[in-house]
Formats: sequence, structure tokens, C-alpha cells
Amino acid sequence: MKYDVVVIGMGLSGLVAALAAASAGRECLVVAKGCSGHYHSGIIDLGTGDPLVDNNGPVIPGQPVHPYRLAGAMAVQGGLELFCRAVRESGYPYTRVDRGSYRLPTAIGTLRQGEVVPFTMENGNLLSVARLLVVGFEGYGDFFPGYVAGNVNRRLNLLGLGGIAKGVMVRVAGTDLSRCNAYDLATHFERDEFRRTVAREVSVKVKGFDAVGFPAVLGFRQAGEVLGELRELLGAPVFEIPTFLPSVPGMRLFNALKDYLAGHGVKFMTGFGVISAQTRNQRCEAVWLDTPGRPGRVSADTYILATGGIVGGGLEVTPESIKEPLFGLPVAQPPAYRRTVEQWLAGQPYARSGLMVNELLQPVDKDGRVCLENVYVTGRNLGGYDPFADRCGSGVAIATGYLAGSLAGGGASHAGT
Amino acid sequence: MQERSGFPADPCLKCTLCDVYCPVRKATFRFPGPKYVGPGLARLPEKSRLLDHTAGWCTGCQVCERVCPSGVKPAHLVLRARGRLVEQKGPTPRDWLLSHPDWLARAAAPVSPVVNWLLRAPVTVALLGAIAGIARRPLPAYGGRSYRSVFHRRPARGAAGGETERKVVLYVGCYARYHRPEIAWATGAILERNGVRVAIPPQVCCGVPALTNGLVKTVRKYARFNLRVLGAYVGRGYDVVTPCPSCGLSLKQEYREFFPSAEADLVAAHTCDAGEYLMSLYSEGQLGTSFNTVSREVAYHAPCHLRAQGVPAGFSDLLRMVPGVKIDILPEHCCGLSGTYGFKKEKYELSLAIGRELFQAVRSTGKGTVITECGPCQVQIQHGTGVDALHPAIVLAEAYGLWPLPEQHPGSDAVKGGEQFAE
Repeated sequence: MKYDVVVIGMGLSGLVAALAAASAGRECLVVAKGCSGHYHSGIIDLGTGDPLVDNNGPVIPGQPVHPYRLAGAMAVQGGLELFCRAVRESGYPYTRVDRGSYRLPTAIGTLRQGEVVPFTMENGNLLSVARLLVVGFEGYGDFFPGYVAGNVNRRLNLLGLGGIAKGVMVRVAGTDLSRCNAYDLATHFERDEFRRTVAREVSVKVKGFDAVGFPAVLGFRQAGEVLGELRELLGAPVFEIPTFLPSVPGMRLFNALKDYLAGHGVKFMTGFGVISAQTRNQRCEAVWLDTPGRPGRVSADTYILATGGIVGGGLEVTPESIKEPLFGLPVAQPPAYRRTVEQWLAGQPYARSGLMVNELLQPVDKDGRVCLENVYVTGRNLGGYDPFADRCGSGVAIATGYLAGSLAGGGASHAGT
Repeated sequence: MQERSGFPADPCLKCTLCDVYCPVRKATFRFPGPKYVGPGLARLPEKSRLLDHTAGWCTGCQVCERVCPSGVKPAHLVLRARGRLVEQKGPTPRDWLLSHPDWLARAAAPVSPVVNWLLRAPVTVALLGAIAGIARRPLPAYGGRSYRSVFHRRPARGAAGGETERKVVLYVGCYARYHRPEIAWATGAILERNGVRVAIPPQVCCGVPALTNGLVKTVRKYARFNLRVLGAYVGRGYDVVTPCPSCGLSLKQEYREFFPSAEADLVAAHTCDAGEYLMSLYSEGQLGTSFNTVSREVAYHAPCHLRAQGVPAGFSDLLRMVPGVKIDILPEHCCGLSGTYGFKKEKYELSLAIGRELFQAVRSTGKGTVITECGPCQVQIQHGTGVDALHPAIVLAEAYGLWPLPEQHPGSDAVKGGEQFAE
């Protein structure tokens, strides 16, 4: 089968790339070896500093440029706009919040920043709540409200603010939650009876609190209805606290994007990784999928490499070096490195390793020569940034995915700054 | 990306995504989920007493393998766990019987009107339930005519898409062979209409029913026979084409997985789902596309075992080209029948619960016909919704003007194509 654009990888950057390419009217196929939304908190982090400034400077020789720098302000802005439009039209809207004045509790009671959050987390800003009730469920072993509240208070105290949170464990009569994961619990919440039982249990404890935080399990496809009803029954704003795996908000987000894409004619092939590529004259001509029986051939004018970093399998670490396994593209990586006690929290140079690209996101070698003209690289495949230390993984995914998809769609106007 | 060596459960990070997508776990929390019955049980020692029956609740839809981001194959680990259990304890007579669909059918086919009448009789159904543990549900009737006698009455081989040197073995599959011969007929006739030579050599069950019941030795027996025959044809330049997704998956994947050999690799590399094969003809400009108008509003359900094959394009794409056909693609759901699973008394209710989402989707489209490649899916959808379900080859044969077959005396228009029917 021949497509205009083949996106390899279905993480956030791959999905946004497909959004941009499909918006430009291109026929688009997304291939992926599996799904990964359940790893994502659902919160879009743009970064610790100004997203358009190369915040921490170069660490790895040969990869001096932060992907934000390469993609440019218009890609960051355009990507976010497209992203927000897609999730809104899918019925799972996101809100921009102010980094300086927004702190959401996590499942271990740390205070989390974020720039773009799903509507289910809008009311969770600890800096604007006076008295917070954190609710957990007996039997559900991945969320301990007392622990969350205790840590929240400790951290607020460190900031010179008073403790505001109290944890309460409720029992949902008639439902055994001992084998439930977050997703199972979310499906329980879509049952009227379960929801009302929870509301009844919580409503006798909610007096005096002006916000109620639940683990992020308030429905799956019907999160809006579940939140709306709980708010009404409890008489207080309700919000979700990100949980351990499987992360329900992450899966909702990825489903929202996939639904939108499917509605715009994008095709998906999930479950079959790309095992090899056919290249000639600095161009990719086809890729081969790991399908049963024999490799399946897929070809396109343009390919977007969004296979992820070391964790996602897009980069492979051997004892000697880091490799890009599909095209064998050159990887910017730190020289042999030994961690010392003095610098053990000083950031991890391996996190900044990744592919080198030009301002069109085409892969280049260390002399800046383009390796493949019709391949664009996005997200965690890229080097030059540390998504953990810089807290900008989702922002880079959206900006570079948007730029790559736009370029594949035929528009190059956003390139560079 | 790379071939992972070592213990097959090792890449599992326990991220639980397989449990999220598992259609059985969606229907009942009594099922501990693929994470436990797959990589979990695989970690037990060979003869562990902890090995339990929970693996029997897996339908084998294999969605867990397609969503796993770490390359684990829970469904195959389940099949192995079940094989170990059956090896230790032996199969129940019911499971043995369900694992041998051709054994049953060969006895039933010559007297199919009597058998079909018996199968409909409430007393038979009650007896089957009480003695054999078969669910009280309509059982698929046996086809009156053998697929061969139907196949002989096909029109001459044409060249609707231009001259081609292509030749294929039609691997019919038990469902088409014993229950709906017209599926085999239509598939063969469409291929011949497009100038493809079609041979139907002797063949036995692909072994999927036996595999899902843990009778690995039985599968080996079937595999050996099929691979010998199909391997010889592939060696002579034939491809293998099957209208059945489960047979296709077996030939492409399960034989290689369970009985690795050069022959299994060879046959796998040359096996195609019928829709996949026709689409490959189309992409090379060798498929005739001057279709008659077929006024049908249909909903298309992609069977789990077709999704597991990673077929990029197939019958649903072909039907879109037929004037008059209005096609809605149903969302991804498992029908819950899973070959023999839903015929088991203790799994019947669960089987319908698994299929509920699909049934609702079918009803909400309001279409009068469901199109799906898989025979058991057809049976389950008809049972769960009352909506008629058809193999897409039938509709495509209508578009080619090949179906319905003009009523004639068998033999009067026989074997114009003059193909091999060596048995």
C-alpha cells in the first residue's frame, strides 16, 4: 500500500505529526509496535524555563541545539493550537494553566507543575484551594489518600504555606476493588450505582472542604459526565490526581487523538513494529512491518520517525554505544561516563543523547550532511534535551511532531527561527 | 525492534496495558487477565501445581499482543500454559471433540439433513448440554453439498484484470468446507474470474480449535499433513489463499511458533488472506473492477484473527469499490465466540457478555447485514443480534455477477476451468 505519509510510532509526537499531516490533506498511516498512552500522565509539560530558550545549554558534542530552538516558536504555538483543537473536538478538552501559580498533587503527594492540563485536573490547583479532601478507595491498592495528604501538607509547609489536605479512605459496599487497576476502577465509575455509592460515602465527609481530589479514575469514555455528576452530588469542585500505571488520563488523551485522526481518515496499524527500511540515494523507499508470515511492506512519499528514545525502543543501548536500530542513523551520545557521588543528582547525560537533525528535522551526520531527505525525526528520537530534568517531553513531542507533520504535508513555512 | 532472546516473559514490565484491552476482563473481573495468565503463569516451573484453569478463560483474540509496547506475547504464553495443563491432565472428552471439527463433520456431512434436524431438536440440545457440556445455543448447520461438488459448477476461468501467471491453493477451512460451502465457491470463482489458477488439494483442519483447547499433539498432526501438501504446492510456485482468518493466522504464525521448520516458514511466507490476496492483485492492476451494482447496506466487522495478521488492506477495501454497497466499519471488538469457546456450557454466558459491545455497535448502525470474514464471528453476530452475517466473498461474487448461482443440475456445467483436483 502506498501512502503520502507513514508515521512510525504512536507516542505523542507521532500522533501530533499525523494530526498535522492529515490537516494538510495528506493520506496518512500510523504504524506502531504497541500502545503507550497508559505511560502518560495526561499533563502536557512545556518545560522548566521559557520553552523557546535553550535552557540548559549543550552537553553532548555534535548536538548543540535544543529541539525547541530547532522547531521554533511558531511550531510550539502551532502545535499546541492544533493539539488543543483536536482534543476539544474529540470531547476531551484541555486548558492552559499558568506555570507559576499551578500546583497539582500527585499520587505520592508531590506538587506537580504543568502548562496544559485536561479539564479533569483544572480544579486541582493547590495554590487556590483552602481545604482539600483527598479520597481513596478501600481495596484499591495503588492510591493512599492519607499518604498523599500528608506529603502535600509537608511540601506546602516547606513553601511556607499551611497544610490544607486531609485524606479519607471510603468503602464502596457491594464492589470488591482488591483486584482493580486504575482502568478497572474507571469503568466502575461509569456505572450509575457505583458512582452514587461513592458520592454518598464522600458527601458525609466533605463538609468544610472546598475541593475534592480523587485518583484519576473518574470514568473512561464518560469522564465529563462522571465529574459533572460528582460535583453536583458533593457540592464541591472535583478533580483528578494522576496515578500509577495504567494511567487513565494518558489513555483518554491518546484515545481522543486517535478518534480524531480516525475521523479524519488516518489509518492505524498497531501491533507490528517496523523491522527494516529500504533506502536509496538518501531516500527511504519503503519500510517493512513485523507481520505474521512475512514482513508487510508499506511505502510513502514521506516518513516520520517517532519511535521514541531509549525507553520506547527507538534508541538501543549496547555496552559500547547507543544506536538507532531502524535506519542506522548517527546518534549524538556522551563519551564513556562514570557517575560520582558528588554529581549524582546533576542530570544524566544519556538523557540528552539522540538523533542529530537540521532545522527541517531531517537526520544529519555530525558534519551536518542530510542522511535521509524524506525522513523527519520527532520527539524522543531527538537529542539535545533532557525531558526529565527540563520537564519538556510533551512540549517537544508536540512542537516537533507538528513541524514534521506540516513539512510532510507540504508546508515548510514554520521551519527554523 | 530486535529479535528478543531468552525467556519470553522477561520483557514484561507489568504495565497492565494488556489487561486494559482484554475483552474477557472487560466482561468479567473473575478473569485475572493476560498479564497473569500469560507472562505470570509462564514464570511457574514446568510442573507447578499452581498452574490453573484460569488460562482457559482467554479467548485467544490476541489483542494483548498487538497493544503490548514491550513485545510480550501473552496469548501465546496462554496457549503454552494450556498445553502444559492438558499434557498433565489430559483433555476432557468435550474439548477433544471440539478440537476435531473435521472428524465430526466427516461423519455428519453425508447425512447432513438428518444431522441438522437433530441439531435443531430441543432434546438433542439438552442431551449435548447434559452429557457433553455443550451450551444450549443453535449449532451451525452442516452444508448440504460438499464444497467440491459446488466448486465444480463454477464458470470458466476469465481474465477480468488481464493475463496473469498466478496460481493458488485454496485452503478452504472447516467452516466453509463443512458449513458454508458457498464461501469456498465464491472465493475460488472470484480468483478464477481474475485469471488465477485455483487448486484445491487435500487438506485437514488448520488446528486452531485444538490449539485453543490445549491439544498441542493434535495440532502437530494436522500441521504435519497441511505443511507437507501446501509446502509441495508452494515449491511449485503456488501461493496459499484462505477465506478464513483463523486458518490464515495458523498457517502464517502458529505453525511457525509451535513447530518451527523451514517448511513452516516457506508456507507462512506464501499464505494470504483471500482479501489480502485480491488487494495485492488490485495494487498490481490485475484485478477486474467492472462490478455490477449491488444494493446492500452493510456493517463490516474485522475479525480478531485478521487484525492479528496485520493485513494492510483486504475485503473491506474491495467492497468500497463496488457501486451500490454502503459500508460502515464497526469499531474494534471481539465477538466472544472464539471458535469453540462460546459453545462450551460454562462459557456461553460470558461469551455473549464479551460480544455485547459488538452487538450494540451492530444494532446502532441499523444495517441489515454484517460482513465479516470469520465464520464463528458470523455465527455469534447472528445469534447475538439476529442480524444476518455474510462472508465478504459472497458480496464480491455478487458484484462480479457470479452469485447467486443459477439453479442447474449439478454437473451440467461442470469444470470448465479444468483445474487440478488431485486427492
